[in-house]
Amino acid sequence: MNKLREALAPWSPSRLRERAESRLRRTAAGTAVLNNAPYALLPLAAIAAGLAPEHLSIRWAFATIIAASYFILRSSRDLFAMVVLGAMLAYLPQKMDRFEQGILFDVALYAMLGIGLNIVVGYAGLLDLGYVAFFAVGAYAFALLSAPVYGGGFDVGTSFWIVLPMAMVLAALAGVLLGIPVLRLRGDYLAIVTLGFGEIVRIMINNENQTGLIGKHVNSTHGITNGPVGVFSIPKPHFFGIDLATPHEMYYVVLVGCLLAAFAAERIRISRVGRAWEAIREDEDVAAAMGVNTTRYKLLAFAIGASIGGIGGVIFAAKQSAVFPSDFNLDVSINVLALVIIGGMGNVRGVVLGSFLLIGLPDVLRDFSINISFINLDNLGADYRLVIFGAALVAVMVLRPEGLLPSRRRQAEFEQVRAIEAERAT
Amino acid sequence: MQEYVQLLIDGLTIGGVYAVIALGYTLVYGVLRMINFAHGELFMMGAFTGYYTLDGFQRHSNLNDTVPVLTIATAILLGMVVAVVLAILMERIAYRPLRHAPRLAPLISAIGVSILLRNIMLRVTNAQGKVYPRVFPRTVLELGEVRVLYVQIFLIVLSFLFLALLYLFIERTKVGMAIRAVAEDRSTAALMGVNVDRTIVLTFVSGAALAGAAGVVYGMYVTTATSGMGFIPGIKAFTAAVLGGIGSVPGAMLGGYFLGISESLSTKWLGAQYKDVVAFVLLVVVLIFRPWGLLGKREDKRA
Amino acid sequence: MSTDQRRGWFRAPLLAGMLAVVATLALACGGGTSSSDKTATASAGGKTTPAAGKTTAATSAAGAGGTITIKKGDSIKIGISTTLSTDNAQLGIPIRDSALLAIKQKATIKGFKVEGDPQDDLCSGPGSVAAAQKLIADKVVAVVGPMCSGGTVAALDPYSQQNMLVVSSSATNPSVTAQGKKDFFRTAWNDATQGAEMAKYAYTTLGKKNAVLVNDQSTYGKGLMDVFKTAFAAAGGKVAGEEQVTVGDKDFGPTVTKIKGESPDLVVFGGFIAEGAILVRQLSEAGVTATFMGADGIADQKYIDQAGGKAEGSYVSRGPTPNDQTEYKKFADAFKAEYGKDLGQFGEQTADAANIIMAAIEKVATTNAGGDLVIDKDALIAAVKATSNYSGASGIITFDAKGDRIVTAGTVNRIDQVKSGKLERVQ
Repeated sequence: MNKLREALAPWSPSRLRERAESRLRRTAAGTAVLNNAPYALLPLAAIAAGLAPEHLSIRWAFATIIAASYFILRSSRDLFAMVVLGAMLAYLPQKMDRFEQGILFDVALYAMLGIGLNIVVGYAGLLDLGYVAFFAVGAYAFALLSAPVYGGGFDVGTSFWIVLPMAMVLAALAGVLLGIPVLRLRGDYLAIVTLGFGEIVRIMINNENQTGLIGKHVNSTHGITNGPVGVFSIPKPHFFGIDLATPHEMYYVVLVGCLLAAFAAERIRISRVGRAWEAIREDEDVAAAMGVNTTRYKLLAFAIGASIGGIGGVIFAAKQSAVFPSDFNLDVSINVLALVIIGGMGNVRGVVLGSFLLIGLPDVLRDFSINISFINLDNLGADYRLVIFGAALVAVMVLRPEGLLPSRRRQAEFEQVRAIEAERAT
Repeated sequence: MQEYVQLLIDGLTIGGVYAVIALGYTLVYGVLRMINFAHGELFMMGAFTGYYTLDGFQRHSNLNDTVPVLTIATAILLGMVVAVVLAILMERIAYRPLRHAPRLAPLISAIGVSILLRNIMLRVTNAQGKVYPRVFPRTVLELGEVRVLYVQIFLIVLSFLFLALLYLFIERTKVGMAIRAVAEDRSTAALMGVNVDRTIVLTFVSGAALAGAAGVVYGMYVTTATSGMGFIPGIKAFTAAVLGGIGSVPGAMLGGYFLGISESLSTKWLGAQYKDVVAFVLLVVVLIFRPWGLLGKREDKRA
Repeated sequence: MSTDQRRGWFRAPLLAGMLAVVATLALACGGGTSSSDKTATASAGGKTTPAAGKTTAATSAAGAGGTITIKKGDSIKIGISTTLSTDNAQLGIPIRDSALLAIKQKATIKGFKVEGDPQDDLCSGPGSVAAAQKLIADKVVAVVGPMCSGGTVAALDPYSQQNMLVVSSSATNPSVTAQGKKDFFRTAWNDATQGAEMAKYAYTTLGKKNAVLVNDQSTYGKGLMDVFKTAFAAAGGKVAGEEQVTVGDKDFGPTVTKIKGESPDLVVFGGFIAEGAILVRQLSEAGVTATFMGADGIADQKYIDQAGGKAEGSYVSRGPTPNDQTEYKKFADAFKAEYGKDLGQFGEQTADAANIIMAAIEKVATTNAGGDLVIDKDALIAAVKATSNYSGASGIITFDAKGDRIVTAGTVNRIDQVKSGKLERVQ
């Protein structure tokens, strides 16, 4: 395997790009093109989305968006680039049809969840496989408060915008509750316990209807959570008189949420708290020896990460207008973790890219089929979606274990490790 | 009283499955410090191999009726072989390149392998569960009100047999010693002349063989094989391994049986829907008071 | 100051800038009426414009009005939302096949070709919603499905925003019609009806007095068992216990032991094929002599196969079936001829759903001057709503105000019993 990689190295994309770049940079014109190339892709993306023939539109528009995003995210230091990316993400849904808008909503939602999980896993180094629990807390909080009784809720009538901060607090509490028993656990022990926590939340939600252990004392019609039937007829939120009824409209809510979450995450990362997390991530014992209150910071990481998950849950419940316990299974936790790691851990840009690739692509490829001469794979996208997904996870990890857009620090760590390995091999 | 005995036996059955799968987890974790998320899928592939073997015998011969012992033994053997081959492939392609990568990379890779295997089998079987031909006689042993299937007894006995065999293997053979050495300190073991790569592969192989065999026998017990049948037992088995102390072979067995019996008994009072809750709560409680598991080594960082 | 902090000075203005851009675009572009079509083949009506004001809490933005125009030469597309992957594909694939056959049999409406558009709805909320959005984007005229109750509840949100006609043949939970969406109908009985019929049969015909109910923790299974419990108790029976099993589990030993301890004379199961087969087999192996009864979720030969012979004598409630079997036989034979398999559980109900949709289209569609077909959505829904005493493969169909199928004369709840390894009708 290694030999193969060595042989292919001179032709690897990064090496090729280096050679092309160095050749172009010898001229002034070439430099100018290189510096501005990413921005040229943007109008292309918009044009592609708007003009592409109907049956090609889904694939080409999305592919262009992903390609453009990749280059833009790579050069995220540039203010202009980020504004342009934001504009593109805000404008493009106008050009998409219902289905694509739905996909874009999912991508944005998972990106937000990814930013939250990134705080726990990427910044603080706490392996959390049960993130879906916080998502569920937020979703059910909103659902139970606002759905009518026939839908399984308590019809308290709280507005969406008020539930948002409430869910943040509730989820944060849940995060702290999870954090306390697991303070002493490391690595894989932590992983399995958090996984268990996620499952426990789902099972409790599934069973606490009018026959549940606790539910039967709470309410005779639908217990606490209305069980497997779920909670439905959740009313849509309003924004100054506008009904936020479609995925497109809710998408803007998620987009703003993402931006705020990303902003908050970044600010925390470069603050004292973030530095404490870094210390804990690198070596917890040394950090404790240096006076870092590991307990407080670990709980803080759980709480903050959880609160973002909670917000995501509220938005999800509002968009789908119905929640079911089966929506909050282990797959969600795994998907979020995968996109954080594949995108590039510890890194908001990576999370966004990861979400596009892992959440956006599979749905976009739903009716992808190959029909070339004798190769007749109809419904390749639909039937083999998950097979390709699994293979892709393995491939990305093996070929680029640091993720697709790693933070510069991690990239450096990696190069160091690779250099050591190369030395060892010789 | 009879009911409790029955519940105990049910618990031992599922506990036996957890225990055998847990053995594989604990071995791999011991040497690689990595959770092989795809281990449950080896169990599932074993079950399918068993199905295809027995089904093949059924269609093209009458050996299932005449010499069932032979066909069953062949099925188990083939189950082990397939699981072993898959494990070797997994190790080579998905785990070895990531040996020096950050902790999470092999985890995601393992999850990817798990998703891949599960969905390949889903496609191959076209979402249909495959029903085992009736080879192992489904006679029931009746002790008063308690009823045990012979195949259940076989499963339980087999799991104890595997424990004993594995224990002997790890403690008494040279290869076992190599595994223990690599688990304790990889670089020193290398200095001592142990071929680390080969040892790691052998660790995977041992765990896989057990899981594959267990898959075949479990398949015969539950009479169907589905593509998702290894995922939850895999997670439970990992829970069991952690409960017993990951890295410890007897710990895995203890954890497995303990988990199985607790699940079974809790069904009586709380109902089957809370089975998983009980399992994880148990785990948390044990880990709060003994973070290294029941039989695990105390990871002393002092001095 | 660290490098990060030095570089971070622009972050606040950056964020403000991006928020401003987003807000401007959101408000400027109409805040909601995004165009959902590229070429104007079909205009999806029924989107709430901001000027339309707030809607009440009970019904989410239900669209109204709107027409579908199908250009000359294009085909009429009918969406089929069913489960094509995961274990439930065992039930979902036959549904797709039934719908496709019914469509094929009709072939054309007013000179326009009719086509089916199957989409995988994964038997889940998000999956059915994604399938719904795909079908809406594909500009289908109406939808057969979704398959699962939970998914249907979620998917009705996007469907009703588009004022899309949806007729399900298998989503049976009462919660589906509780929302009051006026564009939804189902040719399957509401579980409230089905459960009551099952209880009636069990108590009156089979004479069972002491039942244990088992469900698989799904929307369908739990809902059905809840109804059975109420109906059985009302009839005078006693419910000795309620147990649950987990989908995907292969060994229900402890639960079976518990059931044995409760000594029922009837065990009722709400759930699907895989779990039903395991349960009936293990009950038999444990020596439980109670009669086993399941519902449409296990009504399939695979249930008998997977139970390894232990399903013999168990009862399966299958839902509405006509006393006069002519229509049913016609479709069942055609299905066998086309696919070489027996009609699955929801086959006849699916055929009826598809046929009712197509009959309604034929009734309300008009051709305009350019030779295009114009279908008024409200008229289409009204046509289906007016369905009364429609003679279908699954019996006489009449819809009530909520879209449920009512029990009509000439239709009985079909009960099968497993005899010699096959399902045989006994009622």
